[in-house]
Amino acid sequence: MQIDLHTLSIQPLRQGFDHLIRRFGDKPASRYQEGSYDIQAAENLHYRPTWDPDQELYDASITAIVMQDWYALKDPRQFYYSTYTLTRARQQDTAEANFDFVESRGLIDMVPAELREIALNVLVPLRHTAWGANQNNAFICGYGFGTTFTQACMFHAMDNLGVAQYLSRVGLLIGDTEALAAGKDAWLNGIEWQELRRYVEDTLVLRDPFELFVAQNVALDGLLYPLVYEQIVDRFLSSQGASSVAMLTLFMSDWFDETRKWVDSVVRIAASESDANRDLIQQWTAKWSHRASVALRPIVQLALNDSADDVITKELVSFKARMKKNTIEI
Amino acid sequence: MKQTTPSPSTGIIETETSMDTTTAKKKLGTQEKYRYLTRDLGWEPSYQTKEAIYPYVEYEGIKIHDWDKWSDPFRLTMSSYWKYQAEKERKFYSIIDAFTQNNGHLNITDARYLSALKIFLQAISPGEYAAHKGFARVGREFPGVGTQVACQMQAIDELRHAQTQIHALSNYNKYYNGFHAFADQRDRIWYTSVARSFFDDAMSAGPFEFMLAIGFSFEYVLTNLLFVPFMSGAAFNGDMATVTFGFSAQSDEARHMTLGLECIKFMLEQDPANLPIIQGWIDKWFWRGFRVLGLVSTMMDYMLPKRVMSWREAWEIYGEENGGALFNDLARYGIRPPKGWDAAGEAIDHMSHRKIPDNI
Amino acid sequence: MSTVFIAFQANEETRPIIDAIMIDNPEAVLHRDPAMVKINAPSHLVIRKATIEDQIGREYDLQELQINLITLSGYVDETDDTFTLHWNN
Repeated sequence: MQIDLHTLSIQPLRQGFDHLIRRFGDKPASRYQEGSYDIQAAENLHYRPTWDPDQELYDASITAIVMQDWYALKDPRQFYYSTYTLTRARQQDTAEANFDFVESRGLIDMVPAELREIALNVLVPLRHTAWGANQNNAFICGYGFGTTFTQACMFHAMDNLGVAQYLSRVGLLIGDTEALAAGKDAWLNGIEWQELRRYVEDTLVLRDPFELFVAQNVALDGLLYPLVYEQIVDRFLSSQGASSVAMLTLFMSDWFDETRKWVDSVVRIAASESDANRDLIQQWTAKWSHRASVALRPIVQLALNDSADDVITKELVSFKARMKKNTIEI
Repeated sequence: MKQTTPSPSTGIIETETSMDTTTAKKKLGTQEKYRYLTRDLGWEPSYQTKEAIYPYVEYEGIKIHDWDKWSDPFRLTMSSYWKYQAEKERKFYSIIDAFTQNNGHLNITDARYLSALKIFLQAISPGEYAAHKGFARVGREFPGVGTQVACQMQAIDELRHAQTQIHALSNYNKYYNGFHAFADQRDRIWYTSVARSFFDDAMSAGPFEFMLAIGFSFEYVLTNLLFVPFMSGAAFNGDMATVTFGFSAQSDEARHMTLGLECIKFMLEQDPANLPIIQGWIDKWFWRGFRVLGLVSTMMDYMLPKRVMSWREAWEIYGEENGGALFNDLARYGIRPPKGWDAAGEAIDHMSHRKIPDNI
Repeated sequence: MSTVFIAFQANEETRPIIDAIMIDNPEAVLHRDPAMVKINAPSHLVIRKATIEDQIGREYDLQELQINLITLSGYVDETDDTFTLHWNN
């Protein structure tokens, strides 16, 4: 028996908005497309900013990178507000369950004291690093050009705040408020942290949104995340019996894997646009990744001591290979 | 071994084991815990100066002596933000999808009602996007973590509003004329340039003035005059899609309003020298916002096949009632109601019908 | 003396919240619309977690209020146990 479900079918006058039909053809657009393309004001801007009259309110020339069409920087994840929030809500559910699991079973107390200390020493000051990353990505969203690029940066900024807050909770869980105070003291005064803090403060005065993207999201996080969350937490600490820490930092590991695709895409598309862009991105990547590896060394040593150099060297090889796939040679 | 099960929102437990020493952790209250998760993240820089990192916070003349005095009324962690906002998103899109699938647009009173939505898509949605960019910027340029976090959350909320509006109105575009070129005409329509001018002006202002213009004057003083007419107009004329995004957006607005009110209170309490600057901004932005509402007044009085109330009635209920309580409260700082408030009241009989001479 | 108010979407989730508010605020006035419920009170209104929990029979986080909130008027004070609106005049 055949069942035909009849609904009232009315022929639409058109398949979509003009600007999307021009871009993608005469068919219904996706919600990502509707929510992202060409929704930024483009012409007849009414005023120049009083905070910097040399700029326009939306100004592609703030950066040295030149794009024919900034909307080419499509996010491969196709995150718009809704899909972004739903994804993160699922992840935070898992993170909450993990925190509950570890707390309610007292798993941290079962970790040997010296490993608890390493976890605190490495992870807690990184909450400040993440706050720097938040501010930097808010900057790129604010002063970058083109919604496909800038919205992803705002999501990235909020993600970094989330990371900072998870790290704060890790500190509170393992070492209570004293751990947070100690972590801040290390960030401000500890000799191991000064190169990294200097790096972060130097990024906070960068006003080219794309150079900042490279310095923060490509170079610094591109090395920090694999070194800290993969090598120190997931490998070293877990192998020594502190896998409960890995449970608490699961969000960070998963997040890096997901966002790496987006970061790579931005670099690849911008670099493929022109030799001039590629040269610039190469210079920036080389300069900032070198500084980042120097800054991260004492921190990796906190956990891995003598094997730190070896691990860092290997990680730099991976990083170079990753950049090569984005047409960037360093 | 004794354990107590924690409440996830505090994340603190007391544990005793027979093997380890007792680790009794402090039970942190909401306010204290929030402090550790936000303002404690910041630090005094030493490799770069604060002036270099936050270059735009001096030139407006607003004096802030202690950013720690900023109070966060809605203490949302990112965790909670994602959780509650996702809940709203799920509800919102399932209603929009149902509306589309059932040809809900056939239930509007008359196709002419959609003039109201064409104004919305051209005048208001671009303003949401501008607010998104503006809040992203002030979310970076203010040197206080609590303020920055609240502004950044508003930045993505405003992006949410722009996108949910486009998504809700997308189906109308398929069956009715006049929505199709919103992205092309956004920068070119004379009628909606008043809204564009408002937001561009606010973006051209410094961070403190931006906050006052949008956060306080627009989001607090005038928000009901924008929201209630459009949403009631939608409800009265069978437009479920708009009612849905209206309600959904409004729950974010409660946070925005509170941010705006906290901002003005904070600025006034930090230094008496701020008072005349703030009063000047209140005067300017009330009047600018009131002019934007001219679009709403005409919509209410002329474009709804089934009318909700007149602009005159809306001003009496939502303008005067709201403003009265607020300015009574702010009087103790020396703030008086905005210049132009009386003129706005006098305009209620002709606002929607003709241009008010500028010398009033 | 100025009025504070709070308005919620009218649905199954807000029914117990509204009941709780009316229990805890004897001077509050309730106004029902098809899609919205508005509660006015003279200068002060308090929402208590414990009263809501009595109504719904489960643990409740006051931040959940935000899901169905439409608008409000007054200064906001939030603790673990209460959500308060007030004016200072």
